[in-house]
Amino acid sequence: MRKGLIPATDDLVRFAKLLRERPARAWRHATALLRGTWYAVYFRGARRDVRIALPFLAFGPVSIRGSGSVRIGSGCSVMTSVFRGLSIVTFSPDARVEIGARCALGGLTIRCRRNVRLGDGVRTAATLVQDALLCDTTAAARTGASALEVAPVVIGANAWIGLSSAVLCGTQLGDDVVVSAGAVCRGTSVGSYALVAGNPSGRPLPIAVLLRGKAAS
Amino acid sequence: MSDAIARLRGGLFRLRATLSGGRISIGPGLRLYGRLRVRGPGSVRIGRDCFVAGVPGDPSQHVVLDTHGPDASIRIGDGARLYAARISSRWEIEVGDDVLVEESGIFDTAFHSIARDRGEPTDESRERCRIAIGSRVSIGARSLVGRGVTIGEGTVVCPGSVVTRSLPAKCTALGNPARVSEAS
Repeated sequence: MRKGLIPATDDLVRFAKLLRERPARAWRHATALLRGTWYAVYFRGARRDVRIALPFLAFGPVSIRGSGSVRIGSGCSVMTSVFRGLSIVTFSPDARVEIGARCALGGLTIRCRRNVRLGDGVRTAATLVQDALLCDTTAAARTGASALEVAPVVIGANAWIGLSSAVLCGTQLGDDVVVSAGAVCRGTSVGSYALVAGNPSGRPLPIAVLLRGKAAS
Repeated sequence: MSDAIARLRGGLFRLRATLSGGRISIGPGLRLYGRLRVRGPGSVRIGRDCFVAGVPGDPSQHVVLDTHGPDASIRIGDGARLYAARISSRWEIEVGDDVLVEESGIFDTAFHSIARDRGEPTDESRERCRIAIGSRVSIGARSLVGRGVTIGEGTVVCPGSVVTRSLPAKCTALGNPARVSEAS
C-alpha cells in the first residue's frame, strides 16, 4: 500500500510538466487520484474482501456490491465519457473478480457469480461482463436448467472491449483481442491478437491478417 | 429489514393505485425494492406477489410501465420479477406468470412512421403489434423485444439480444436479430 502511496520521482516530474502545460487536466488527474485513494481506503474498510491497489484513478463513480472478493491491480483508472463509472456486483461469497494492473475501466459493469478475470492493461467502454446468463437465479430456475448457465469469463492482457458490448458466461478471450462495439460474446473462445464482432459474435479474425490487407491496398 | 420496507412500499403503491381509479390494478404481495413508475392513460394490471427492483448495483435505473393511449394495456401475470424493465405499450402487452425481466425494453410500437413527417405509424394494428410473452420466460440484461413478437413458454432470451421475430417455447435465443441457439 505504501509503495503505491508515495509517487516515484519521474511521476512527480511528469505531473509538474502537466501542471505547467495543461493545468485543468492536471487538476482533474489530482482529484481523480484523491478520489481513487478514497475509494480504495473506503472499500477496504466497508467491504470484507475488496482490495484496490494504489494508485487508482477514479474520474467517475465506483460502486462495488456483494459479498464476493474483488481485486483490482495497481494503476487502473475509471474514465468517463459517454459512459460513467465502474460497477461491480458479486452475487455469492465465493465469487471472485480479478482485474489486472493498468486497466482502463470506463463504464464497465461486472456481474459475477463465480469468477471473472481481466488481464493487465484491458480497456473497456460501457461493457457488460457477466459470468451467468441471468442474475436472479432463483427466478431463472423457474425457466429451466438452461437459464442457470454459469461459466467463468477470462479476458487476456491488453484486450480492448468496444462500446456497449457484452461479454457473457464462458467467454475466453486471449491477449491483445479486440471486441468490436456492440458485439455480444457468449461461450466463445478467442485466441490471441484477433478481432471479434457481431451479435452473436462471429468467427474471430486474426488482426495480423487484417493489418496486412490494409497495408497492401 | 429491507424486505419489510419493500412490502410496505408495495402496499403503499397498491393503495395509491386503488385510490387513483380503476386504471391500475395490482395484486397483493407486491414488493418494491426500487422505484416503479406507471404512466399514461392506458390500463395496467400486475398480478400477485410481484417483485420490482432496479439494476443490481445501480439504483438509479428503475421499472417503467408506460401506456400511450387509453386503449393501450399492459398485463403482467403473478410472481413476475422485474429489474429495471422498461415496458411501453401502444396496443397490448401480455406477460405470463413467473417471468423474469432484467434491464430490458419491451415495446409494442415503433412510436413514429418511417415517412418523412415522422407522424403516427401507419402500419400498426392491435393484431400485428400485440406482444405475448409466455409463462416462465427469462429475458436477460440489455435486450429488446419489438412489436408483434410472441415468446413461447419457458424460453431464455440471452443478454444483449434484439427479439424482432417470434420465438418458440423452451429454447435459448441470442443475437440481433435473436435466433434460437439451442432447444431444450
